Amino acid sequence: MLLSKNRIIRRRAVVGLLLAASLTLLTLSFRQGSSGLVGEIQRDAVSVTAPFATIAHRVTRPAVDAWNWGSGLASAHDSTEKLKHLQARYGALQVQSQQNADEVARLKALLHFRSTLGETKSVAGQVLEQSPTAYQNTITIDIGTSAGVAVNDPVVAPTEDSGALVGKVVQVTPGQAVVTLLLDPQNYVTAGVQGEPNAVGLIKAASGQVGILSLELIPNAVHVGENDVVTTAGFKTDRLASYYPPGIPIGRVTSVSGNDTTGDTKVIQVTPFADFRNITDVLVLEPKR
Amino acid sequence: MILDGVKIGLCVFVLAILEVAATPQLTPFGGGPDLIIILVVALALWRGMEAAAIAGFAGGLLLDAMTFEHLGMQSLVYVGCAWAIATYANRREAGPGMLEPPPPRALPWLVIGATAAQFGNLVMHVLLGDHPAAGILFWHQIAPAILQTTLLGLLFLPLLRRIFRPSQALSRVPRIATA
Repeated sequence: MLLSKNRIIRRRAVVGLLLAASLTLLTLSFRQGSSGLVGEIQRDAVSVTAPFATIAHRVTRPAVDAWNWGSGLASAHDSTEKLKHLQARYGALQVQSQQNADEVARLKALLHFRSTLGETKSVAGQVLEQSPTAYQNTITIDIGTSAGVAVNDPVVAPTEDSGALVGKVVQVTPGQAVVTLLLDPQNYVTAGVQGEPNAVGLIKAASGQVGILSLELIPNAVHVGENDVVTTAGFKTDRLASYYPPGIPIGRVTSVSGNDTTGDTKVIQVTPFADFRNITDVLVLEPKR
Repeated sequence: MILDGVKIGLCVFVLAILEVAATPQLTPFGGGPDLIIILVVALALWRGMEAAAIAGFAGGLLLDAMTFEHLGMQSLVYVGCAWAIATYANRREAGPGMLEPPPPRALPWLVIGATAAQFGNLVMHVLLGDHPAAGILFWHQIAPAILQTTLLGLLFLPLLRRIFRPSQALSRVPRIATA
């Protein structure tokens, strides 16, 4: 831009004067504070501009209200999202906490059951796999011969207050073992009713009923009532011995009926203590061999 | 000249009132927009250094008075901004075939001016004994103020351009070749 020398000087003079005036006012203001001439000027300026500021405030009030309303909605939306997020997180933590509590309860029960075994040694393991089809009633656990597990060792699982028989080992490798559950039709266990020395028979999977066991070969003369507890009998003779130690809980009697084919024995339905669909931890018992 | 003075006075007054009374309530992040710097930049680009400096001085004085700040503090900053912008924005050379350089773009200079004003205010506060937390000040005052000033500049600069229409654009007049 083409400027004359005088204009340049004038510009510099104006800017210099304004800067000097600003510095002077600033110095006065800093020294005098709200009292004195500078404070008086400020109060006068406020009294002059106050009505206009009020008008501006009132004129822009609807816009301010609209803005606040919009930002309030956005804030409320954000708060809702945060609450939902927290709720989801809390729910996840609650589930995790419940799982931990369940696991602690299971392990406590297992420990308690272990203490009731007396001299019978045991080794704990976890379930690696559960048979994915209904054709098999087996589980695979993460302990094998290297942990002392052998074929036909009984396997128990923790229940709410103790432990319960779930099956026996049928295959074993150094690191894993396959357990056939009581629900398998090929699995028989010598069992008796607690408190009835003569009530000894064989327990196996009930035919036609999923998840129910059947205690058979109990003479009609022996009294067995509902809610009686069925445990392993653990017989032992000179030549033969049961794989299962006596006294391992199996289930509770739910119904007693006569046998239609022989007429001499009872058919007793037993609901197992163990939840076969949800076994996570087991104890493999090592009876004296 | 007188008309320009009246226009500048009115603009200073209206913008200062708006800046103090209206915009602080509309700012979502804290740190309201600096409307006076928009006027200062517009005048520095289209009316020259004197007009911008006078407007900055008056606007700063009014703001300081209305907000009970140290009188003269903002005036000093705005006058400095007016001088800097008017000096450096008009340093472009004329293009080939043009008598004058093309007028500077207003928005980039507004961003520069708003940034300079914010940091100038910070320096003044520090010099006067305030010791604000740098992080809080940046995120709750400086950055939002620059952003909002720039956004409002999109609205106010065209209005101010209509009020303070730049002088005849000689840059579009081709140089006449003489024998």
